Amino acid sequence: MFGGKHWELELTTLLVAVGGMDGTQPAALFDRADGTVLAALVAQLRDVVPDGRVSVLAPEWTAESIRSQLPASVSVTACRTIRIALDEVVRHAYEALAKGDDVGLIDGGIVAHNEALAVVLTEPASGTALLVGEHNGSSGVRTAEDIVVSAGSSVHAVTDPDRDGLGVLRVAQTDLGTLAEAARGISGMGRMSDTASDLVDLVTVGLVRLGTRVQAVPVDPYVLARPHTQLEVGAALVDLREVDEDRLRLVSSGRPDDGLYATLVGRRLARIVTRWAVRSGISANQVTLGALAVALLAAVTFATGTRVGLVAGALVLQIAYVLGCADGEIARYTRRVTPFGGWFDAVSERVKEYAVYAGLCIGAVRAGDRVWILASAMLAVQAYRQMVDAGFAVRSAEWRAEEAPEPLTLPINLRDDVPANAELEPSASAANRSRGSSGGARSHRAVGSSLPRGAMGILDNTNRVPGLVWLKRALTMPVGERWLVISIVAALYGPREVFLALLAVTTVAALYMTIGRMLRSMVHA
Amino acid sequence: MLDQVPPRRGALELYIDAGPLARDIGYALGRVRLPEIPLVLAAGALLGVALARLDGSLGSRQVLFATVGAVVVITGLCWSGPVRGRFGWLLPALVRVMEYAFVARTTAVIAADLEWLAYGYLVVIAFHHTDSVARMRHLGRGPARWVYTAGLGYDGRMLVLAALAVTGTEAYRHGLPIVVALLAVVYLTECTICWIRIPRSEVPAPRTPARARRAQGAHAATSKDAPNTAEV
Repeated sequence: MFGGKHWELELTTLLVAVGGMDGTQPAALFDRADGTVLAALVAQLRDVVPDGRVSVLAPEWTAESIRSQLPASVSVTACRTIRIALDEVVRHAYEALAKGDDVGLIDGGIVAHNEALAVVLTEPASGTALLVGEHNGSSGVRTAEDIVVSAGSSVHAVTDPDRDGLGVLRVAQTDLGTLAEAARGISGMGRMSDTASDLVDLVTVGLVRLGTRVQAVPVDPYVLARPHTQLEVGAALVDLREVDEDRLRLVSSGRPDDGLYATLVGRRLARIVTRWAVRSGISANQVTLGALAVALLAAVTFATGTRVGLVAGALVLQIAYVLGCADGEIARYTRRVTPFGGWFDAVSERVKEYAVYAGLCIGAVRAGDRVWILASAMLAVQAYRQMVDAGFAVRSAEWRAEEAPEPLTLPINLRDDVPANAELEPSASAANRSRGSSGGARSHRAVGSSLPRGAMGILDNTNRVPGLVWLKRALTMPVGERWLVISIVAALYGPREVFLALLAVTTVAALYMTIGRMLRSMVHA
Repeated sequence: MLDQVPPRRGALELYIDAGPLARDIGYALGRVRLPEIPLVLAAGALLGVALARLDGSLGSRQVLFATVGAVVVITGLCWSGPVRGRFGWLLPALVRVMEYAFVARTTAVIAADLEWLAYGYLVVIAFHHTDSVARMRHLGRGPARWVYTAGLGYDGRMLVLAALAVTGTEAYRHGLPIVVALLAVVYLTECTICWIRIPRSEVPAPRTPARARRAQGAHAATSKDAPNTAEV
């Protein structure tokens, strides 16, 4: 159970599209120091998605030479035309649907960091997603709130593109039927698609125009290039080397909503633990279990009730805290984020804290003081805070879903993303779909009085002041801050003072959280 | 999927943890919709007064028992349908505070030396709700439906303890540990069964909102909540 092998994410079907069905030299066959761009990419994919099955869609004229470059486990399908490649996409979509896989579609001609591929292909929380970068020319997309509203390809134009699609697309299982439909739609474009070779971009256009919500996942801070010439491959490799991928990956494995203490102390120390655990092959769940054991030791130490015990318990608790920071980091770093791991982390954190409270109470009894009622009050405040947080998360997820921007639904064979009424094919399904489309970013419904809106404006504006962001995060008393209070007050004073201090700060935090969330609710119906 | 919570009851209803009794009162009311927040606040105020006046005398215990009955009826009226309203997300938190305050205060007055056991009761309940939230977030579905029945809900648990208190101090002293032990067995057993039963091939990771919605109805919390919620 704790070996980290259970309850992993599903396998992923990975389709690498080489292009060049029109006879031109595809970027995938350019050389880089370690073989062709394609061979290096396939090796990267096998590293990023170890359980993934890689299939390469290669042009017929060079399929044999491609097959000889790649490991035998990679299947290479020779495609005479792009339509045959699109048929392969349809076939894989149905196969993956039957197996319960997601499908990754990757342009064979990209030069990228492993992590750039991983943010789309291995992120457990994302649905259908497209990797995007800064807009500087080809295959632009228009996005609104990180949803692709309109996508472009060599034969599809985009009005006002703000970013570039980077040729790495992941299609979630629920959208695989639409993927097949999109591939057939592109195929049905006739001559228009015969000259095209950017399969991934074309399929993205198809998906978006059929109304799929494709998330735009930024590649930043990693680097991905789609070189057009051999020279550009060299330039891209230089760009890649300028970024310390491993350090960035370690930093980004932390939680984005860490508190002040976690950022200043916990994360920095946790990174040392993470490095060590990753090197020694210790899984995240094993570290969670270890952190639990250390916290229970802290509780037992507190339970002695002596001054020495309180000071020692305070120190042991901080060790448990650092270990508790590292487990999620290890999971994210090793790409072994599992439902069980997330659950175990969340539940064990509570168990640890409540065991520490109990230890403090037992210690107090030994020293002739009864503080169980204060510990119970602390549980009540914590339960209240947890329920406010969880309840609001449920509601705000619903609000977000209601107000999310919708992709522009258009016929696939239309060149532009502005419906030209003369050219529009009156296909019934397309007409039905475009009736429902709202055309770009829908503004938030302005319901509710102007007072909370003004207050929310002030709240949101404070996020631009760096110090205030930290103050606000510390004000919510996340676990790091709470355990710091426990350690310091226990070491200097005693159990009763710990609970009084905790009750004071967490009650303020509970009020602050409640008021903030109520203000945020005011703008919704 | 049959033993899972049906889609009609979303994540908020799960977090409220109303038992069969309170739910039946709600269902009996049918389509009549009452404002939930004022009702729950009123019930909380009633309970607060009864708890403040609790002094261990039989009279005050009877008042407490009657008040808990009233609280169950009043809050039960709120669950005639899915929770709505812009502040509906506050309800689980309010219900939680009521139950915690009831157990802590009642035990402190009736059996002061069992305060540690009241703490144990709260830890067991806290485990159950943390487990519910964590499973919704990381697995896309909550604990099996029978747990919410076997756990009696906040309403059933409060009524049982209030009945013990009114029966007598000895009954309360002997009943409380049994209640705590039974609840712990129910919650831990179901949780263990859940994780053992999940085969590797069928990991329901809540990757997409659509998938989670299919599994849980429109109220499902997906793992997407996670980045937007504070670690509290």
